[in-house]
Amino acid sequence: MAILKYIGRRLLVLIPVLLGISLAAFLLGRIAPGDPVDDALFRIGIEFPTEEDRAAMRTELGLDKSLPEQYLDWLGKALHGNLGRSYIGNQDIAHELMTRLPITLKVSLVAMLVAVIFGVGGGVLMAACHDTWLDTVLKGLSTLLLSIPGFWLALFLITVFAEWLHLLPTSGLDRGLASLILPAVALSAANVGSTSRFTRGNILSQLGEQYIVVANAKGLSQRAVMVGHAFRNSLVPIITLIGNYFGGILGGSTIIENIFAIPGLGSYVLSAIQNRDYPVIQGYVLITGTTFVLITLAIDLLYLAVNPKIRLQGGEA
Amino acid sequence: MKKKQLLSALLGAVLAMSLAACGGTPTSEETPGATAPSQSSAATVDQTREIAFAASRDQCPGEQDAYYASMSLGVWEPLITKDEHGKPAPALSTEWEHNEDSTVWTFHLREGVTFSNGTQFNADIVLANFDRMKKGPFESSFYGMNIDTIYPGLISYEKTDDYTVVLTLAEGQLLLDYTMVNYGSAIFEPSCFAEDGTFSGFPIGTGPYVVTENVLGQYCVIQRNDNYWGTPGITQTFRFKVIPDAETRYTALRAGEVQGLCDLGAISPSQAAEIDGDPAYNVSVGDSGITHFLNVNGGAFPFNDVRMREGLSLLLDRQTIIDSFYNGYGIPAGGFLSYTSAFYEEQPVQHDPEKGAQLIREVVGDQEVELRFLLPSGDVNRYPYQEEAEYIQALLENIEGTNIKVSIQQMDWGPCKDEMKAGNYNMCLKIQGLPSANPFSLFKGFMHTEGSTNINYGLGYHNDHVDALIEEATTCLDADRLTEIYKELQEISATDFPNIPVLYSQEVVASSSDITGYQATVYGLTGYTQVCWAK
Repeated sequence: MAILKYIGRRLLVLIPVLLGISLAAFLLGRIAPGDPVDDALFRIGIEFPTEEDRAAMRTELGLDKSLPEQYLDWLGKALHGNLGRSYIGNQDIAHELMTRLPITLKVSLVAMLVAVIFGVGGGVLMAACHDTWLDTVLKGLSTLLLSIPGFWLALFLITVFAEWLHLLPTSGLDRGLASLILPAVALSAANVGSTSRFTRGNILSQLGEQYIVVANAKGLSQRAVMVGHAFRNSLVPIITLIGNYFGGILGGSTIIENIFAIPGLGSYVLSAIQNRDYPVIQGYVLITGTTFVLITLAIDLLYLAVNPKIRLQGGEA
Repeated sequence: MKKKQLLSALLGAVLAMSLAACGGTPTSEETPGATAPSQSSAATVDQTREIAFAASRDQCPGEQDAYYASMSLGVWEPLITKDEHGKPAPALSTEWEHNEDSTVWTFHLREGVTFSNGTQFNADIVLANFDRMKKGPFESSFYGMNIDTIYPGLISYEKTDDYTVVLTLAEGQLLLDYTMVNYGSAIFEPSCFAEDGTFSGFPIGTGPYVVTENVLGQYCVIQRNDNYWGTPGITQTFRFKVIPDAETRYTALRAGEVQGLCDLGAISPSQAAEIDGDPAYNVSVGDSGITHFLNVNGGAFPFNDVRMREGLSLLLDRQTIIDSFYNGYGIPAGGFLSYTSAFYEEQPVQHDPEKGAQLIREVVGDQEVELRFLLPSGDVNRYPYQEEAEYIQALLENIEGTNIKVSIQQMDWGPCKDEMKAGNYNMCLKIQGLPSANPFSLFKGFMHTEGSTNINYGLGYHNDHVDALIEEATTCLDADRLTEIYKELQEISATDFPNIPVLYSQEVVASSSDITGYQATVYGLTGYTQVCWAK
């Protein structure tokens, strides 16, 4: 019951959070220099518009209204699930975003999986072999992964695995899971580096705790102590870190989707930003904001599963 | 036990990661297309295999696009196309004429043409397309469909028989057939239109190919129309993939995932130079309607003085720019109008650094002058504008006896345009295409005092004689006089410099030598009909 109340409260908090981010997205779009009117006119065959053409298009796009009016108009429609039509391409934004969201989520989740498996796994391995040559090598590798820019790594991976080895496709989604491997690795590389170092540090700090001494005194094997006690107790901050990464991965997918020709949310919003397609940018922020808040909620619920202390305090994370 | 399995799984994953990172060298992979083309003729080669191309944008933008598909795919055809000189040429209309004041145009339609669904092409079809056009304007990522700009003052359209259509305009349009070229007179079978004039499914045209699959943002597939009225295509199926990133696109070609790169910016000059001469690839260079301009703020010191504009133009070694930064793909530009225009008049390309420096010295003297050089970031990603700007910066900063400082700034095109319009700049590199075969809108936009580009780019250009010529062209119904006006405007632009033409772009495309027949062409009727497997 306490957990349900907790979830209910978190969902209620979602409302002001989404209002806040939608307002921020709206204002940032309008404050940024640039005007979508000329692009919209160009796309309907008016390359050299007059001021009258511009005024007419501004009215058509609703840009002649005051900012509060524009925001409230948009918000009213958004509450009914209508995110409007894009200035460029005249697409139904809600439909377009919902078509692209699963693609971005798929790439992001595979990237998260890569980050968890290799980041946490690498961290456990480093902690288990700490201060050995393997630990040194893996620490160096994690630093390298942290330092390489994602876009550079993406191009490097494409060259090696697509052009030289012909193992994976350069781009697109037409080869199922194989199409997701390179984007996911490029997206998660830096997270693998930081997660592995963070996991290692956390586990090693747990090894000095009294309960580890007790576990050792009870005669448990080193592996049982490491995985059953030290690793489990270091999980909460690791889960927090990984949860935060998800936001980074969603944002980072913008560039990666463009490089790998993945028609997800990232590539869509990138072109919207270039064209000052305000309704698309606002819709994108709303959808990714909601997704991120829901993921954060899921992470909070995970705490309850892994940390009994949180349960004992009545579900307060 | 479970804990043991978990640790084993994690260790296994880490081991797999290490093995992947240290993977061995491949032994049997060959670079696709590395072997020389076989001697088999197209007839004996299996042409039912799919050929894949990659482009930076969707070749089938879909139902909301005015044309659904790029004209180059050969899905639909226009009434009028253009010949190799950029002049109107017959397509679905075999001939046309107009009355003395160019207000009534009569088009004679091609007989015996059928759409891919078997419908006969005739005058009723053309009228239905005008009905649809009136519901617009319609957006497009190619050319917007706007009846008011393509057919200004259209009063009526009617048929006089099954194969003759007559258009009546409120005012004479001497060059109507130029504005109708290609996208200006696209024809579709009316049943593919939705109530609002957009498409209700795949487009149905009279072209040599039909769209059979389209996944927006990913790819589209076209199949040969075996009932095509003209010479049919050779290859059964083409797939056009969307790969926005130039590096990935290039790698897809090298990896053998696609057999060719197409559309605007298909391959960068440096990439083309890398594979040019490699027998595994073919690089084709064709005409382009794009001109690279150095726009200058003529409303403020120092470019408000024509000597400064001329001086800078004389300083530029255009051939060096092309050879050094564009890998030789380009033509030095002396005049305002692209060499692909039917009205192009060649203007001398002058490079005289001593005279250029002298003219600039006369304008700026030894006073300290700071020049703001803007580069639209979108164009910087497509063209070597940063290097080109640094070259121009070096030229200006090293003029003996002057004290010029140039600061280069990249910014999005939106804010860049705002800065230009407000006059907060001195120079900006930007491309300009040919929006129509009739260059009137270009002349008016850039050179008329009240021209929209003149104002929006902050060019500050004003010349009473130019204004008078453009106003005369607006109502001119004498073809010879109009040609003279366009010629004179080009001559004036080459000496008065409303902006400074740098180079005429060239279209560069590349393909694997596994296929043949793929050439860089400006939009034309042949499209991909000649493209086929070589082996």
